[in-house]
Order: sequence, then C-alpha cells, then structure tokens
Amino acid sequence: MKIYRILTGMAVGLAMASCSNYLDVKPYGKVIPTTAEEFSALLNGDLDAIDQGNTNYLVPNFIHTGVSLDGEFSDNFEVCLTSNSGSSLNRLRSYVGDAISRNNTNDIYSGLYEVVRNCNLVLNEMEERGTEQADKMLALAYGMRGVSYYQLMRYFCEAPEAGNMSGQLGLPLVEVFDMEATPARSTLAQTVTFIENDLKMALSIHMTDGDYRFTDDVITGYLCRLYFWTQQWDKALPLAQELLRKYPLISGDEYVEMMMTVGPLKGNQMIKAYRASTGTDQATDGALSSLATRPVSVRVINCYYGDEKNTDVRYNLCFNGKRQAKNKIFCGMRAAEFALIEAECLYHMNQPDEALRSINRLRSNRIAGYTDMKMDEVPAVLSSETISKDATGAALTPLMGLILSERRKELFLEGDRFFELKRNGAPEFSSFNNGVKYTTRSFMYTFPIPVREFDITDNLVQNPGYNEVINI
Amino acid sequence: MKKYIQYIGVSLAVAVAGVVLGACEKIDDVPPYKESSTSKAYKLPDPTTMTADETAEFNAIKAEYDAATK
Repeated sequence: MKIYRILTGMAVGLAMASCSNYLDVKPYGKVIPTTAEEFSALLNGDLDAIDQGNTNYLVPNFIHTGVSLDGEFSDNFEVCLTSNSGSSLNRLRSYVGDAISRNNTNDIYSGLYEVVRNCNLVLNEMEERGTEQADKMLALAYGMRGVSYYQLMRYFCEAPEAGNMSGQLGLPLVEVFDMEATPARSTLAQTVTFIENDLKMALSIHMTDGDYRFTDDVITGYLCRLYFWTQQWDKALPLAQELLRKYPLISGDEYVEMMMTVGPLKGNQMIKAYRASTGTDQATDGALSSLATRPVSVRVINCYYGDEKNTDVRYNLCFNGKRQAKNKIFCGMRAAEFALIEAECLYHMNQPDEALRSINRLRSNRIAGYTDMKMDEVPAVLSSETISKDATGAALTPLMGLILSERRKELFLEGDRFFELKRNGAPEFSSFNNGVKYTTRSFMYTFPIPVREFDITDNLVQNPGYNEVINI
Repeated sequence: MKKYIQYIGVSLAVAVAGVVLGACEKIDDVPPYKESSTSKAYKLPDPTTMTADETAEFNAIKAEYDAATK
C-alpha cells in the first residue's frame, strides 16, 4: 500500500514540475487588451504626448526642434556670441557633439522603438477586424510605425545616396512583437521600402478621423517627405502638389496668426505639437528664453536680400533688433514645406523655370509688394552659405542656392536646418565658445546606435566614425 | 517480497530524480555578466584651443554683431 502512496506522490511531483509556469498569475491591476478600443490605449498615449508637446521623437516638441536642432546642432545661431547669463539649466550646448558624447541621442532611439513596439502589438495581437474602430487602429498603427521608422532613419542612417541605398546601412526592422528578437541592421533600401509600405498600408485603410492625428493627408505628407529625403523627385512632386491644392499657401496677417498660435491647428497646418495647449506654455517660454542667450547668425540674416528685412513678414516675425529668436513656435507639418519640396523636385527634374515660378509663388506670399524674380536676377550663392553641394552632390547653382535660402527662412526654428545640412553634403563647420573650437564633423550628422544595443544584439553594425567607447 | 518492493521503490525514486534533475539543463545558469552600458559613450574628437586666426575670426563676428545691433 505504501508503495502506491510513494508512486502517487512521485507522479504528482512530476506532473507539477512539468508545468513550467504553473505558479504564473496575471499581473495585478493590468488589463490584457482584446478589443480594438482596448488596443487604442497603447497608441493614445503617444498621441497625447504630441498634443501636450511632451515628446522629442514622433512629432518633436519645440525644445527639440527649436532649441536642440536649430539652436545647438545647426549653423542657424552664432555659438560664439552666446551669453552665459541665466540658469545653468538653460545653458545651450556648443555643438551636436555635446549631445552625442553625453548619450543625449539615445532617448530618440529608444523612444521611437517604443512606439514601434506598441504599433506591432496592435498590428499582430489585435484580433478584432472589420469594425470601424479596428480599421482606425490598423491605419493608425501602420502610419505611426512608418513615421517612427522615418524619423529613426533620418537620425541613425546616413543621408541616402541615390543608386547606392542597397550598400548603405539601414535600421534593424522589427515588425512583430517579440521580446527575444534581436534583428541586425537592414540595408537603407530595405528600410525605405519598409517605411513606404507602412505608409501606403495606412493610406489604403483611410484614416479620416482627425482625432487620431495621423490622417490620410498627414500620411501623404510623410510619404512625400520620404520620397524627397531619398531623392525620388518624380514621386515626391505629385504628392507635394496634391497637398498644396488642399492646403493653399496663405500670407500677411493670416500667416502671422498661424505661426504665432500655440494650440489648435491654424491655416494650412496639418499636424503639430502642443495642440492641447491653451496658448501659454511654460516649457516653450523657457525654451525661447534659452534661445535668447544665443543670437541668430548673420548667415541667416544674409538670406534676406536688399530691402527684404523690412518687407518680408518672416523677418519681423522671427527676430528682434538684437537678432534674438522670438514668437515662432511651430513643430509639425504645414503647406509651405511642400511648396519648397515642389520647387526642389522641379529643379532636380531639369525644369528650372517651373522651379523658379514655384519659389516666386512662395516669396509673393511672404514679401509685401513682391515682383517675380527673373532667372537672370537670381542672386549668386551667398559666400556665407555653409552648404556647397546639393543633395545629388553637384555644386550649388544660384537657383538651388535660392531654394535652400528660402527653405532656411521659411522653416527657421522648425528643426529643419540640421537635416538640410545632412541632406546636402553634410558639410563640416566650426563654432567657437570660451576660447575653444568645436567642429561638427560629417559623421556626426548621423547619430550612433546606442552602446547598450550592442549588449543585446551581437550582429549589430555601428555607423562610421564611432569607433571607441569610453566611460563618462 | 516487501524488501523487493522497497528496492524497486528506491530505484524508481532515484531514476525519477535523475530524470527530473537532468531535465533542468544548466540549473545554475545566470545571465551572462556584462558591464553596464549606461555610463558609456562614443569618444569624439576633442575640441581644440582657438588659434590666432580663429580668434581673429571670432573678433570679426563679434564686431559685425555689435555694429549691427547697437
């Protein structure tokens, strides 16, 4: 009899030991989403962060676009004239290398991959299909994943070389939720195709509900940006023109009001940070105060030709008499960017007259009493211009110089100039601060994959220029 | 007979224990030790002290700014 008890005990022991997770319980207070509405909570947090202006990643806030990208990383401000007054908390960095060497670029990488993770959960784990809510979630997840990878590509991959993207490093592409996955880097061509597919999938489902921010028009805008960044001029042009028809340029007081409104969408804005703001925001006020310690560079001032300091609405909007930046807080996407994309696409498609017409259209919306510039009146490339080659590697012509100059003025403080430098030859430039010279090297336009990523992924390849790891 | 059954019981227990313990591959496994990376960063070229030419360039920038904004 005793032997039966022993055998029974052993059998029970074996049975329990074979249940590897038999003591597992569902975490207290957590909900495992099942419906589309429950899955929406995964993405709503990111949308809310955009509305609050709390994110540096997806639709970055002013502290990232205005202060970091424009004020510290680009050549739009004069580092050597920085006043050291004010709190050390507000002290501006001298160049992009300060951010890289302090690991300040790591959060961009992890933050955007967290959005990708949430999108993957929705795309792979949500079983609800065919309902209106499920369709919205799918469109949103595809759109946000495409936008996240687009942002990651601009920061962590080198500027595309047309015809050589299969030989350039892309991103590790994660398309399913898997805690164990450690994918290697794809090629840049594969990354671009992946982003394009995601954005097209979002468009095929049709998101028209503005509450979810990434509507069809916004996703079309990102697709246009993707084609433009990757020098697919013939694909970017029709999208830019389609958006310009839907969101025409505006001018005068209407333009000024649009650019000075922190809060709801105005004029031809399509997506923006701070939509939940009521108009006053301590963070943006503090950011402007920081920027006031560093004057705008004469290189930007020189972009206003002749009497344009008095007649161009952007000059008075953006600077005061001490060349301190003011007023303009916009982080997002608006029509003027597509006018500039249109002009540059036409230029690269060998249609210079059309390109000049496009730029004249933009300038006529900004400059009082403007008469169209003729081709022989286009000024020579400014000697103070840091960029000497365009995106294709060709020397800047006066017309291309004019397009870049207009872009610099129009998108000033919107975090564009750093990427314009990267896209157009990644020129090296130096700045001075307290007797020290800081040089932005070409490789620094592409941020390093964070050191910690190499702890968990064996086959990862680092970007060029980042060879030695040190303790900080 | 009783002793014979006890032998079988003990042998069976030893065998089962062997199987159970043997199934736990690497029972003392711990995650591979890696030094924390949070305090590590990539080394960049050191900034340099300004030369006389660069100091002159700085002075010219400052003079232009002072003249334009006074």
